[in-house]
Amino acid sequence: MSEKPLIIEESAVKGGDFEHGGEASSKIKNVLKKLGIDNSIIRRVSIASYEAEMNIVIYAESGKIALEIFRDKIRITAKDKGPGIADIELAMKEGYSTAPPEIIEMGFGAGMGLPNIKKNSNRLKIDTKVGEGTKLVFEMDLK
Amino acid sequence: MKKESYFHSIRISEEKCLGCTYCMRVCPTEGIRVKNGKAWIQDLKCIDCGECVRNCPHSAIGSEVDLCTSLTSFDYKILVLPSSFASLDFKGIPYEIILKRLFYAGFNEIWEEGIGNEMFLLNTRELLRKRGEKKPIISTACPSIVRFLQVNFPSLLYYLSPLNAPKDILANFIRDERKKYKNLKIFYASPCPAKVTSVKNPQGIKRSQFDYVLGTNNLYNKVLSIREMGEGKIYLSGRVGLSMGEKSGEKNFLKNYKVISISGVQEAKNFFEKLEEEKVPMIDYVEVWACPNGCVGGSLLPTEDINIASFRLELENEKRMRKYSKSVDTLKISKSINQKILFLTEDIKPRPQYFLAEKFEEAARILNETGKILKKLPQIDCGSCGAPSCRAFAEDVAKKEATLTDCIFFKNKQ
Repeated sequence: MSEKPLIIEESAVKGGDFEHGGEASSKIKNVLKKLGIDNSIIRRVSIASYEAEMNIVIYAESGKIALEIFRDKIRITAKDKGPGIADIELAMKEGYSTAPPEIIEMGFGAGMGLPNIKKNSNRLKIDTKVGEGTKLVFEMDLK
Repeated sequence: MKKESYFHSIRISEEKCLGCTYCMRVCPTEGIRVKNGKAWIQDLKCIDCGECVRNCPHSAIGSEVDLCTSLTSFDYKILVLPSSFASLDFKGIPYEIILKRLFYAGFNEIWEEGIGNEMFLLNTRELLRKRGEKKPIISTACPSIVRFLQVNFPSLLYYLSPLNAPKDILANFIRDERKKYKNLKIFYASPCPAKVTSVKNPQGIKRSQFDYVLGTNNLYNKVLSIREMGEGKIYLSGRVGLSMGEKSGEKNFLKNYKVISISGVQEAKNFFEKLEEEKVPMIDYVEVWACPNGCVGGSLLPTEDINIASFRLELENEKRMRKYSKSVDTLKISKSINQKILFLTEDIKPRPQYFLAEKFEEAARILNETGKILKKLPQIDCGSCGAPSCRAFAEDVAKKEATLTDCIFFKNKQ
């Protein structure tokens, strides 16, 4: 393991709770602002963490989003109890979505979630088991 | 942290302040603390929104304006009246008579800021018409909002309109137009502390073309106590300009575009959070005011109720509607206007005040410390410690700007 993180923050995310979906990523944004982190990095973290949070809200039963800040990078871990991803390669394709129609009607599940996370982070790791859940770990380098 | 100085116009009277914490709770940048029974402003955080002025139950907070005594000189004096002036309760005295009393008070010309509003709106529409402009464009009409962005949302400064604020467009115009008067002095009657500050410490321009800035409340008292009338030149705004004295004035004029209209600093804060997170629909233009209902809600207006004030402004507006939508003067001016006077000339720089420390490692230490301290606090935000919330207090303690025993609950636990 590399050095210890300077900051660790964790938020619980409830599946199906659209009303509060987005609060965890807002919280992350405000922590980064207080630390004086560069606006362009805040923007990337903010977009990627929102996508990860909404994935939990849309697909999973429950989950957690953890923020770890190191001297040289930011790591977000989004872990959920949920259906898992059957085909990661497909899920990484822009526009591919398994969201049911009522979710798509709400403007979510456009199949941009994972591609957006990948696009806005320096590294993305996906661990998933169908029927059990998914763990996303993504990192943004500082400077 | 580095000590910098910054001028804002809000002043707390030490004599009148009872340390009641009303102001501290409403400050949108958490920039007020109560220490030793008195409220103190952290100057760098002040955006002159006037929430503290409006909410002080003891009239202990005001704005550093110029006094009406500056009117007795022999200079050629021009007064610019804000659109919200027409929303005031003149106790049955017609607006025309009020203007004549102002001439008696010593002004040679009176211009309504609405003419500046009209020039501002015509050019805003031009900007929106051009394709490829970054969207949404955020209005520069409210100086408190400009300062709010500098202090709390610097990443959004990118969206600010390049246009000068309406009153500054007008002041530039008058200065050019009346060059022949050597002793010309231009006065502004400000409805709020932010516009006072925008004259004394402008952002986006090198210097303001206003020489003096009066408080509308002081001018109101003066004009109601004058009985005589004088003569002078009047330049009235049309309907379009006058309606910018309240919320939706911009939106109603820019009706071919997608415009959101926001008033109240808390509402503005919520919106900017969402805009920063890119969670807003497609919007072309953001009309946004720090005061409730827009300028009619200005904290230097002697207004007993903002909804009645809005209503009075609309009545005055109806009188003009039959004549012109835009002022004849605006129409004349826009034909010959020097484009330069329309635009900001300086960068509006970020001035973020939410960093916990300059250095990242130190900021991280403070943040962790804040979390630990916060767990010990009751989290009921009672304000007795002199900070606006338990979290703000925990931050102050972590920054060593307060001590834990300032919390009465913590004292009791010991």
